[in-house]
Amino acid sequence: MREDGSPSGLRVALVAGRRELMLYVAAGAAYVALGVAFPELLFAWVVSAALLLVFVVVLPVFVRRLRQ
Amino acid sequence: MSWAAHDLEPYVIQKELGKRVAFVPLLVGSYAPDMATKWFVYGISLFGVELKADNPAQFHRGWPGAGFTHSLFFGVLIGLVLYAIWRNKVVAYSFVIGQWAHALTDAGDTVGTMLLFPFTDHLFAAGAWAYAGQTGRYTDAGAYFSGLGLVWDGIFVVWAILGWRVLTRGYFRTTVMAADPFWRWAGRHLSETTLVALYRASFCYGVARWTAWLIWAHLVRSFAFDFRWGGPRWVPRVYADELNTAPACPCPGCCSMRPRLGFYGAVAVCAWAKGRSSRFRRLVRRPRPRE
Repeated sequence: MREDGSPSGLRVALVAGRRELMLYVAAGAAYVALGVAFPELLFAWVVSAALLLVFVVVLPVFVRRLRQ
Repeated sequence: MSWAAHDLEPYVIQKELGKRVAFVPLLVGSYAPDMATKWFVYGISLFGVELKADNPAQFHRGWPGAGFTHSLFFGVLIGLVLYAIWRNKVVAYSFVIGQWAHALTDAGDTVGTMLLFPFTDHLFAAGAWAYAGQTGRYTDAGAYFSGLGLVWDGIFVVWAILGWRVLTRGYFRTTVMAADPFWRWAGRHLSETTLVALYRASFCYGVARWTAWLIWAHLVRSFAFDFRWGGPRWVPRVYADELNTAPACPCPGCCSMRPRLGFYGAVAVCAWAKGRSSRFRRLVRRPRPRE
């Protein structure tokens, strides 16, 4: 770990945050697909942030609850 | 105008300045010049009434118009207001840095920005890509992502990805939260995962919409690439010398006075900054009295 709190290398960061990274990539892919289909959405920062929160925060909680 | 660059600039600056900047004011500063103007440039429909500027480029970048929002002075002015409210120097100058980044980035198109307003209403323009805001949002997007604007935003996408360290959770916890009072306040109400997602949101937005516009413009709509300077040439462009002409007083006094005022103003600012830095250096070097 470096002084600024970031991991020492990219590989370390990717391994440690693999599951989280997949969620972000999925959110990004969904936004790109929606944006290409409905370009109006590409002007809305709020829509992208909401989609990101759904994928990264809400979805994992929902899946965890379903598994219990 | 630039598109994804304004989303990604704050991350690039954050990487360079670390704890010396606060991220939220930096981001707000980066978006600020377009916040109150872009909707009127492209036009919106409210209850069946179409609201749109008669001359979108003049409104967006010129004077009279809202072009002052893209000047360096506007950033300083809002920075001073923020300082008066919060008494926090880091918040104030983070906003200024973000707003300056926006104003300088937008100087890359054919209209440019009035960087030294109110000393002069001259539009500083590199003319690398076409300003086509008057054509409407979709043609403007197609044109921007078909010329050097695409490359310019691409540079910021790569630059921001190369600075991946600023996106890590550890960096957010140790550096971003430590410097920015907003995250400490928000941390009392939201989980760390939510905070980190919100911190990364503009990065994801910038990269995703750069990709999406590229796909939309060239796979869905077939706009033609044209990477010539000032391109694409197929779109009607507006140039800097087409704006700010109507209200200009043609008398020789005014014509020679404005650039001169701008020049002397710039010299005064440089002299003031140099004086401050040497005073600061003297203060730092002054030996402490022995006890």
